[in-house]
Amino acid sequence: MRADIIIKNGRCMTMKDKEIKDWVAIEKNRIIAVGSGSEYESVVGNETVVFDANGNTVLPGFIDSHFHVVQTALDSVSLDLSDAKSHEEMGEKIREASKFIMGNYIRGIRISEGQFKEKKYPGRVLIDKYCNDVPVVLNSLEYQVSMLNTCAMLYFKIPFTAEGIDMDEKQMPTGIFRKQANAILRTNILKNISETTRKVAISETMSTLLMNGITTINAMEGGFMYCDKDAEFVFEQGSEFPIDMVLFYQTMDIEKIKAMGLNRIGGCLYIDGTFGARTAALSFEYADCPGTMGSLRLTQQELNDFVIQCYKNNLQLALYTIGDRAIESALNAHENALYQTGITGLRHRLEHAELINDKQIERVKELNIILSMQPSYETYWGGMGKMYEQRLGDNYKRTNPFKKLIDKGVVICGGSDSDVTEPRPLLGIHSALNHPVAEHRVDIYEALKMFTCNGAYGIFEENIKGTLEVGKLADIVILDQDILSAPLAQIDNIKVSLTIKSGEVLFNRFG
Amino acid sequence: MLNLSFLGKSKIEYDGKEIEDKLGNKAIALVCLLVLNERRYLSREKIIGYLWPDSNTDAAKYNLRYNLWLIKKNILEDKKNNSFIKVDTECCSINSKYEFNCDIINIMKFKPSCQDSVEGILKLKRLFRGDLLEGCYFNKCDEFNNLIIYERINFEQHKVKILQRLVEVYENDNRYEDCIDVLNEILEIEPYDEKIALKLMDIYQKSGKRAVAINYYNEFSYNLSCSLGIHPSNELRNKYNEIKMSVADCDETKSGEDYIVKTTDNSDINIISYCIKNVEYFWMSDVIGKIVNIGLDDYIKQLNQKQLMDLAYIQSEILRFCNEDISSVDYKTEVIGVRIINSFVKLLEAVCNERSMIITILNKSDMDGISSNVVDYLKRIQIEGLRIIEE
Repeated sequence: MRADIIIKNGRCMTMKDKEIKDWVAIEKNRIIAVGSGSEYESVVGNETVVFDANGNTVLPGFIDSHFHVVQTALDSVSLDLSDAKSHEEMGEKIREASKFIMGNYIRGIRISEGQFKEKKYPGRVLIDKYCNDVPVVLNSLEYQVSMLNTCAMLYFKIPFTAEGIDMDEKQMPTGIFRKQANAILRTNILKNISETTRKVAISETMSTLLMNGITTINAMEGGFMYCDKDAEFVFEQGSEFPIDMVLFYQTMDIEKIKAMGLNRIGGCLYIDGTFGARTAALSFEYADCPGTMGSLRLTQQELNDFVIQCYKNNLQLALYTIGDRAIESALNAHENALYQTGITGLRHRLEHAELINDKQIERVKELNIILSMQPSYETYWGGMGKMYEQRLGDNYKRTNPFKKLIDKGVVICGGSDSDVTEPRPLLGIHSALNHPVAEHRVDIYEALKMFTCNGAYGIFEENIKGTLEVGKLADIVILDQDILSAPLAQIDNIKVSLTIKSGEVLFNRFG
Repeated sequence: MLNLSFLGKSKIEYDGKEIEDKLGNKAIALVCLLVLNERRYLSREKIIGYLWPDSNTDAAKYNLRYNLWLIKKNILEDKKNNSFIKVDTECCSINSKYEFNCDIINIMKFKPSCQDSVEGILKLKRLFRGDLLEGCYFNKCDEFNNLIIYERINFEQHKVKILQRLVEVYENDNRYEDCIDVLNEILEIEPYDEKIALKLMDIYQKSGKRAVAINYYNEFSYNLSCSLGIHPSNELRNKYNEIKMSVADCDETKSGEDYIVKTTDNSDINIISYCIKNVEYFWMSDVIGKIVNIGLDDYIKQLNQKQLMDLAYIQSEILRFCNEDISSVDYKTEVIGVRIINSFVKLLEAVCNERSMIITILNKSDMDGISSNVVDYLKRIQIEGLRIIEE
């Protein structure tokens, strides 16, 4: 037995029973041996490539359990306008971008009204001043508003009879679209994105993912605010990319899922909305908008009916829940379905579950539900003065209670929710260790589990992924430090030196 | 013969040959501009303002002359020596005497009327190949671009109107499958339009597609809530409940072709009825209305004219069975209640004499006082074949 690749001198965290070994040997796409000391020499052959980890951490390849891959890819070829302070500044960026246009239109993203000194969204006449010969489509931060220039108004199919078209005093469209009109327009535009554009954009994103040590993603695709074509693309062509994409189709169409032969359904299958837009369903009023508590998108009966169908069809179900009222509703539906069908073992998941309360933690454990959470939200929004506190007041102290969940024995899978936050597992790990609320912080081993073995468990792949064990797929990362001895506050600075996916070295900083 | 088609990628056909390439985009835009202003003379100045706003005066004038010449060269005079475009030193316009076909003119002429035939409307519908002047954008021609946007709004509205008319005509002919196709076409344009969704549910129900209706509602309601964060209107929700309940009432083992209300054989008649608080007689009126709507004419006709008039007092749908003008009847208000109730019971008896009927009351707690007493009375007298279920 000769290895193709050996990683030696490592702090190889196998993620199995907290064992740490010195080396890992790979043949073809599998791990063939793991050990300590110099035992590896017996499998070194003439052709064996040896990587010296220099005492740094070696881990199973990271699994990002919540990832909008097509959106992330399209964003990477879009113009980020979030730092423009005025319409003029924004316009100049668009003018510049129009000189190097990729694809058939300019897509500007991450705009909010408040960022401009004008305190309003730009209309088509304004955008025309900077670019009138190429279609320009600008999107607000959460995609609730679209802004088009005149060229784009004539280029895309515009839902002229729908509600939500902003009109000027002459009853002409200003190019700003909200509500129904925005939703239809967005679908029209996304539908028009060609397979080639998707493919090129995703291919370009792959290197970023590999650089961050990601070897598997749970691709949350399709459905509203996204596009079914994204899901179909991942379904048909996902295997052509170097990283494994496990498709979560965000639809309620069980028949379609069955016809496609998928054994899971959901992802961002909205039970409520977001804290940002104050649409997440809370059991209390929003601190910065008294009288508002968010709302549920399905009645309990509707949700119960759907969840039962998922159980009966043996589908793993992932529901999007953010507020405690949404989590409650989802748990009610799961309990109901369990009692009615008696079917277990499907590893259902709640995505996000940011505001889960103590009672719900107990119920989640009893129902064996997996939580798919995004620790980096805490870095972006958690703690004093940030978005969670603005929206939730003192209740910000309750968000993402990782420690409590783990103490109760709940399995947490970690994800980035990219494109919402950066696709960087080490940022997620850092955030879980450095939660702004001290009592919710977890230890390093638990944080790593979220992005390795727990991630594998969340998609029924624990037999082939998630640990460094003989027989498993050779999905491995080497870090540039020993994560166990790095200061907790600086985990964020650790980088990935090498990423191996199924035995292939796909990212290598060693040179 | 000249055929102009501007909805979708422009097509100009003259004597059976496509001549778009010979004309070029600006000449096509010019023809379209003149057609849109069909009944007016457009001054040369105005046309230049639309199509050559950034050229200097001489160049713009030359461009206009050249394009008019190009049109004249490719679209010849007709047999009566009329030229397609009338030109003088000041203005230009389409010659109304010239014989030609144009999609947008045909569509602009359309006004829904009772004479509409399916063929006629389908012909109009086929004219919508796409957006007005699809694929055209003239950089810097702001006014012209605005005009196209404005007209695209108009034509989109026309299209929806035409499709809605088609739905009506199909429905009148009981062509439900075709109705459903057209409604889906409208929903492609306006996927969140609740009125259209309600209509579609209604047609599904009428054509016995209960399962499809329920699936459709679930999908519609979820999409509405995900994309817009809103729930369906009460009207739509009630429709859904009505359809869902009727499924529960029927024997589920039967094939999907069961109708909610059986009128063709002797099985149970199911009626789902609603209540409104404090509106006297409302529930009774609702039941009568539904008996009329499901076409139980034979039973209704068993009532005499006086009884029918009594019922017409609370449900105007009955009027079509009445020979007299209701306003001519001299009602004594103190006894009308008794007469209405008696006639109502007679109607139920007439139906139940030959068929079994299940009346489901959806929101009993909201039932008006008189109806509520009538329900109690009905329970006491126990008409054979009548079952009343309260939800």
